[in-house]
Amino acid sequence: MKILKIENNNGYFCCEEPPNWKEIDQIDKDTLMQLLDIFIEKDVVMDAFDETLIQNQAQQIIYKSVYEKFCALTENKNKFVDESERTYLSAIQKYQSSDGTSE
Amino acid sequence: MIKIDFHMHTVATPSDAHFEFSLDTLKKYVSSAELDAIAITNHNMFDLEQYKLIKEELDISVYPGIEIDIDNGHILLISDGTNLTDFSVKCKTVTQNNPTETDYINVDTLREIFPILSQYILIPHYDKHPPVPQETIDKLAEHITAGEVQSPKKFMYCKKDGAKLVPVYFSDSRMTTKLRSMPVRQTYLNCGSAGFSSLKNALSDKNKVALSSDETGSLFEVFEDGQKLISGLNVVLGERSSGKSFTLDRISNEFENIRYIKQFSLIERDGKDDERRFNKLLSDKHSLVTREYLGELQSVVNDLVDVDVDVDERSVGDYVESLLKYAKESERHDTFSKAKLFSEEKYSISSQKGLQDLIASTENLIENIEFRGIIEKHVTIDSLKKLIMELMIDYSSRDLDRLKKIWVNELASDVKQKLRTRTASTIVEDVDLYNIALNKSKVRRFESVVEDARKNNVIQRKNIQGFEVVAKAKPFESAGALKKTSKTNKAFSDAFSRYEEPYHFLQELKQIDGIEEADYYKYFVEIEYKILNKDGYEVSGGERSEFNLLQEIKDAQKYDMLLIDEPESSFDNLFLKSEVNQLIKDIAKTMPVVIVTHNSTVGASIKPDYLIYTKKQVSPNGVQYIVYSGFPSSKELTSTDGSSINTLDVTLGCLEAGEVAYNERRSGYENLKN
Repeated sequence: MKILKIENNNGYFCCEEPPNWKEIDQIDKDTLMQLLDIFIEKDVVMDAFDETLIQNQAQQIIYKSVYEKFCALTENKNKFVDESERTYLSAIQKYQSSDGTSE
Repeated sequence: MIKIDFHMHTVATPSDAHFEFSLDTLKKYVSSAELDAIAITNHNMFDLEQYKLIKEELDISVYPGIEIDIDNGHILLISDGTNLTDFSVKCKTVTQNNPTETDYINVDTLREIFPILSQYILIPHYDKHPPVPQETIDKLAEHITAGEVQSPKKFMYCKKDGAKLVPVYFSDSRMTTKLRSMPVRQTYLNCGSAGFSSLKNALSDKNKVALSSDETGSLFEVFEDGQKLISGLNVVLGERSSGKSFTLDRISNEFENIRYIKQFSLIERDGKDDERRFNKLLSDKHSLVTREYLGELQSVVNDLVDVDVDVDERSVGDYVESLLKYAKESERHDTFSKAKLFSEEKYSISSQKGLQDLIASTENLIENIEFRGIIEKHVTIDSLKKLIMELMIDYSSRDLDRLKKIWVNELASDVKQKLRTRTASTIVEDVDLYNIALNKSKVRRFESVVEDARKNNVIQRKNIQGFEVVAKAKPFESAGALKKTSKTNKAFSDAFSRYEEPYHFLQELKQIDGIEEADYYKYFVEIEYKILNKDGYEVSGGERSEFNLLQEIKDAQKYDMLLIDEPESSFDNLFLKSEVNQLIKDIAKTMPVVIVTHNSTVGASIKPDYLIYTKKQVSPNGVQYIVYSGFPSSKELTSTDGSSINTLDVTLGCLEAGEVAYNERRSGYENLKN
């Protein structure tokens, strides 16, 4: 799913399907948390930051910062998947296949 | 038979509580116990003058000895007494080496002080506290044949086990005026004389040691008047108020480490209260099952307790807010805030735990010997070695990268800090999205763990003596149940209102002052124990008592002797005959058991090894309890003063209400049969 794009000299984000693109300077903490959930659950795509393609200086700053944050996360995505899948694994296995008989 | 006590104290040393030695008490003891030889064994010291006095006053063999602290245990060293001055000098060296109660010497020092150990009798504390370590005994093996034990049970156990030392059982008493009753802990040796070499020789042969002078070798003394019990099953008979319980009380006062099941102690009086007590006992007893089941949940809760989703959300909020504000101010940015490092993102630094685990697993595969064959069927050790090499190279390059990033972060942060002091621009807050994402994932997985763990689930079924103990995991049903688990008066109603949402429930628990963080995991899942009878139903009050009795008898194996007072007062005959008798018979094979009874099911069907009959005698001097005893096969039971009583009369009288009643009942049964 695409979460960040640059179009018509503006930066956009999207955390919905079907896509509902909003300008990057409209981002708030709730939408950022939603983007994080999407990032965890799906493969995400983002347009690379290019300051020449965004006219508004404020949007440049915001797009760059958010883009870089998610880039860092993407680099570590495999590690994240490994790490989160290992989290509490022995407990999950133990209680899912408890020796006893479910009643 | 020669009767000896080679362990007694006559001087209060730093290892003893204070006491005054009494020669009179020692004389009375030697005379009442009819001892043929004793040894004076004070802690880490030998008082030559006192020894000479004692020897002069007693007309039996008195050997000089010392109880030495060695390697945290105690050992008796007894001399033949031929060179007292030399022995006294050596013992003074022991005293110097062990000035306080916590000091002890080692084998080398012992050998330095007593170069010719073969001259002495050495007896370590063996099955007795504080024991000499086996390693020390091994080092002194050529000089040690016998070991001191602390009970008749342990004596019998060592005697039967070919690999154990020859057991000896001594009083270890302080000879003081305050000695309440004369000790009954001595050892009989089957040897011709009480001479040192004769005794030393007997102490190297298990067939020559016994706790009594009888032929079976299975009796031991319980009272100072010479009354004996068998190291097996003893049944105490007697009419009401004839001193049966009094006799059990005396036995329990005489010995240590005794399990005494008193009359009616197991019967239920208050249904609800007893049930609660019983359930508590049951959960305490089986707390291992609880601990095992909740072990993983405990680690999960311990890890999650530090995760705070609200703090994470705030940090995302702070980041977004500051970023937007900083962006809006872009027109007004000065040279300081325009510097790239001012709004530069920090490198995310992550741990290498995953890779470390992978390297450890590969290493495990390479080093495993037990399953080497299977491993090599699928992958060669050579390729595993190549794999581990590559992983390690990758690890070190990642580690280098990690260190570089830390260095850059520190430098950038330093520069940022300096730029911040010079500008009026908003500062963009840092946020660690990786950790926030990981925390979210943790919370989800934690909630799923809790859901699974608290499913109504039987986690253990165990058959114990015809009953079935069932442990079941289930959700807590009320705030009250949580409170009960906490064993406090804290209110759990707020927490319980979020019980269905494990993460929020945990946050509520954190708000309750006075409950331990380490115990949070206990509030997520309730473990309930139930005992079911043979038919699969929950046990009744009577059945609970039966279960208690069987458990008590079974647990008695930890003790040195088991005393049971009138089990028939709480249980019916069928249960006693079918369940209890066999269990008691089995346990009596390993330790002395004494049962007081009126009941023919217990008294006769159980086939005791030894009978004791108590009788009350009122005389002008007051009430006296006379004890008769003997083997069930002997026609008469005898008392220690020489009087005797007919065994059949006693048995019929006590168990069947006399011969007439017995015959009447028998013919009654015959009539019913016909």
